[in-house]
Amino acid sequence: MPLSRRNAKIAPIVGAALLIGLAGCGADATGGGGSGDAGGKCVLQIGTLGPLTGPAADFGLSMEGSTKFVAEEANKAGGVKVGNKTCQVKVVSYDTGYTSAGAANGANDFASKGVKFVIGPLGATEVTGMKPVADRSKMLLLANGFGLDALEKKYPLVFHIGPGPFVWSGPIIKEARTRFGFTSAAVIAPNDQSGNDIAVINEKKFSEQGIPVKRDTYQRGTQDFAPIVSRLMATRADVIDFASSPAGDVGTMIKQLRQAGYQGSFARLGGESTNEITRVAGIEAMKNFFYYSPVDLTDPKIAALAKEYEAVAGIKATGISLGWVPGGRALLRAISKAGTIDDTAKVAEALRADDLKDTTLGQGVWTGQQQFGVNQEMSWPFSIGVIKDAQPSVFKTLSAE
Amino acid sequence: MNGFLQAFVNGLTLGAQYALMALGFSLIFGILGVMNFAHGAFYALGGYVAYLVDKTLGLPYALAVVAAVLMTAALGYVFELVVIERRIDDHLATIVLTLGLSLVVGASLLAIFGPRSVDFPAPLTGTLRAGGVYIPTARLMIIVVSAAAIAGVYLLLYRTRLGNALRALADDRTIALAQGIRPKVLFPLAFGLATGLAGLTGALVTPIFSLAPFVGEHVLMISFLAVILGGLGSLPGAVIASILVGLVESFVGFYIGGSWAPLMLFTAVLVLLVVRPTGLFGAKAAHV
Repeated sequence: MPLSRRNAKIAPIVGAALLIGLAGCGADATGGGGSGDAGGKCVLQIGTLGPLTGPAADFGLSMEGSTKFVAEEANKAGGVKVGNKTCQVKVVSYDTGYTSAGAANGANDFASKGVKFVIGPLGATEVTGMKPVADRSKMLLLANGFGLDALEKKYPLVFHIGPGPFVWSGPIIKEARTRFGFTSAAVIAPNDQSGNDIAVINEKKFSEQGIPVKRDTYQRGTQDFAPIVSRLMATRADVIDFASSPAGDVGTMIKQLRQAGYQGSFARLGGESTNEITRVAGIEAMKNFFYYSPVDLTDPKIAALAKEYEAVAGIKATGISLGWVPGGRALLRAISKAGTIDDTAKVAEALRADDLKDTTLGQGVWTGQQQFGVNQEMSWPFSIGVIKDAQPSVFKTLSAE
Repeated sequence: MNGFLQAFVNGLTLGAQYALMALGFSLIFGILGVMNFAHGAFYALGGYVAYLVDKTLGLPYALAVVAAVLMTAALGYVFELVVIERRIDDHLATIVLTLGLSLVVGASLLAIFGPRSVDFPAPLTGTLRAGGVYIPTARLMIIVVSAAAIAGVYLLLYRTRLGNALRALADDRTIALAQGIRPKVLFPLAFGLATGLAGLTGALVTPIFSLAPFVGEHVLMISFLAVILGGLGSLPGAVIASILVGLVESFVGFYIGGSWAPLMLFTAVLVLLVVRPTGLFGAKAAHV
C-alpha cells in the first residue's frame, strides 16, 4: 500500500490533533447561576469538582453526591440562615478529568459563575492546579487531595475535608499487620503527583514499622497491567498497597495479580472505593483485602445516613462519600455563623473556630499542624475495612487523633 | 530466566491486542487515506455490545463477540457511506469527522451506561502454568483469535478478487477507477471491516481489564503509535510494530518500571521518524 507524500505530510498534524483531542476529553461543566440574591431569593452556590468520568470517576461522583446531600439536607431544613436571610443551597458541578488543568479550568468556571465555596477537588494534582486560581478569586476550598503540600500557610482559604494518609496510614498498617501477618510490602501508584505523594507517605509508614517496602509507579491510563504485575510478583511482597490509584486500575491489577498466582494481601491505603474495585476485580479476587474507611458502614447511624444519601445522590453510598458529609455540614455552619456568603476570609475564620461536632460521626478534631504546618484538616474517627462474606465490613475503628 | 520468559509472554499478549487494533487503523488509512480517530470508540462500543448481549440478554459469550463485530462493522459501514464518503479527499475534514464520532460514541456510552465500569468478567478465568511462567486462558484466547483475524485479513486481501480491488484502490485510485473498480462500493466495506476488527478487539479485551465509556482512548494512542512505527498504511508493518510495541512495553515495564515504558516507546518512535520517516516498513511495503 503506497504511502503518498500527502499522507506522510499529515502524520505530524494528526498526531498533534490526537493529543489535543485526548487532552480535551473529560472536562465539562454543568450547572450555573450566581451567588447572592437571585430574584429576591438568597442562593448560596457550592461548587463541587472532581473526576466525574474515567477510571477515578468513583471519587468525583462520591464527592458530588456528598455535596448534593449536604445541600439537600440544608434545604430540607428550610435553608441556611445567613445574617437576616435564609439561603437555598445550589450545587454547581464540574468534571476535572482528574487533571491539574481540569481543576484550574473548574476554578475559572466557578469564578465566572460567582461560586465562592467549593467542596473539592480530590487528587493532589487537582488541588495543586486549582489553588492559585481559586486564591485569586478568594474561593474557600474544602479539598481532599493527599498531596504533600495540599495545605500551605500561603493559602489560608484551603482546608482539608478529611484526614490524609499521614493521619491514618500508620495506625492501619499496625493493626492490619496483626491480622494479616505480613512482613514485606510493595506500594504501587501512578507516576504523577496524585499517585506519588500518597505512595511516598505509605512507604514511609511501612518502613517506620520495620516492614521492608518497595515502591513502584505506573503510567496513569495504563489498561493492561501484565508487566507491572510481573514486576510486583518479583518483589515477593506479602502485601501490595495500591495507595490512591484509580479504582478501575486497582480492580484490574488485583484481577491480574490473582491470575498470576499472587496469594498475599492487598491494601488500599488511599481514597476508599471498595465497591468499584470489587466490581472490576470480582469478589473472588478480593480475599485478604483491607482498606482505609472514613466511616464504619456497619454502624446503624451510618447505615441510616447511607440510606438518606442514596436517596438524594442517586448513587450507592461509600465510605468516602459519607466521610465527607460532616465537612460539608461544618462549612454550612461556618457560613451561617459568619453571616456572609461573599466574605470567604470571614467564613474561614468561623470554620477554624468550629468544634467539628457532627450529628452522625461524633466529635472530630483539627489536624494538619504536624504535616502541613497549618491546623486546617478535619478529622473524625476512621475505620479499617475488610471484605467479609463478600461484603465490605469493618474490623476496627480508630481515633481521629 | 522465568522473568524473561514471562515478560516475553506478556509482550506477545499485549502485541496481539495492539495488532488487531492497529491492523484496522492501518487498513482504513492505507485504502481510504483516512485517519480514523474513532477507532478507539469502536473498540469501546464493541465491548459494550458484547456486554449487553452476554450479560443483559444472557446469550453465550461467543455470540456476544459476533454481535459486537457485526454491530461495529455495520456502524462503520454506514458512517463511511453517509458521512466520510462526502469528504473523503479532505484530510482535515475526515480527521474532524472521526474525532467527532469518537466523542459522540463516548458521550452516548456515558449517558447510557454511566461513568463507572460495568461488571463484565472474562468468560475464561483459568491460568495455564509451566515452569514458573503463566498465561491466563483469556489472554491466550486473544492471541489465537488475533492470529486468526490477521490471517483472515491477509487471505482476504491477497487471495480474493475483493482484496485485489481494495489493494488496487490503495495503490492508485485513478487507475483503479479506470479499470472499473468502484470506491463508493468498496470504501464502506473496507471501513466496516476495520471497525469490525476494533469491535472484535473490544469484545475480547475489555472483559479482561475493565469496560468504561472512554477505555478506547489509550488503545487508540498505542495503535496510532504502532501504525506510525510500522509505516503508515503498511499492514505487515502495523502487525510487526504492534508486537514490537508490546514486547518493549513488557520488557521495559518488567525490568525498568511501568513509568518508563511509554517514555521508551515514544522516544523510539521519535528517533525512528527522524532516521526513517516512513516507519519500519513504510518504504519497502509499497503494497499491502
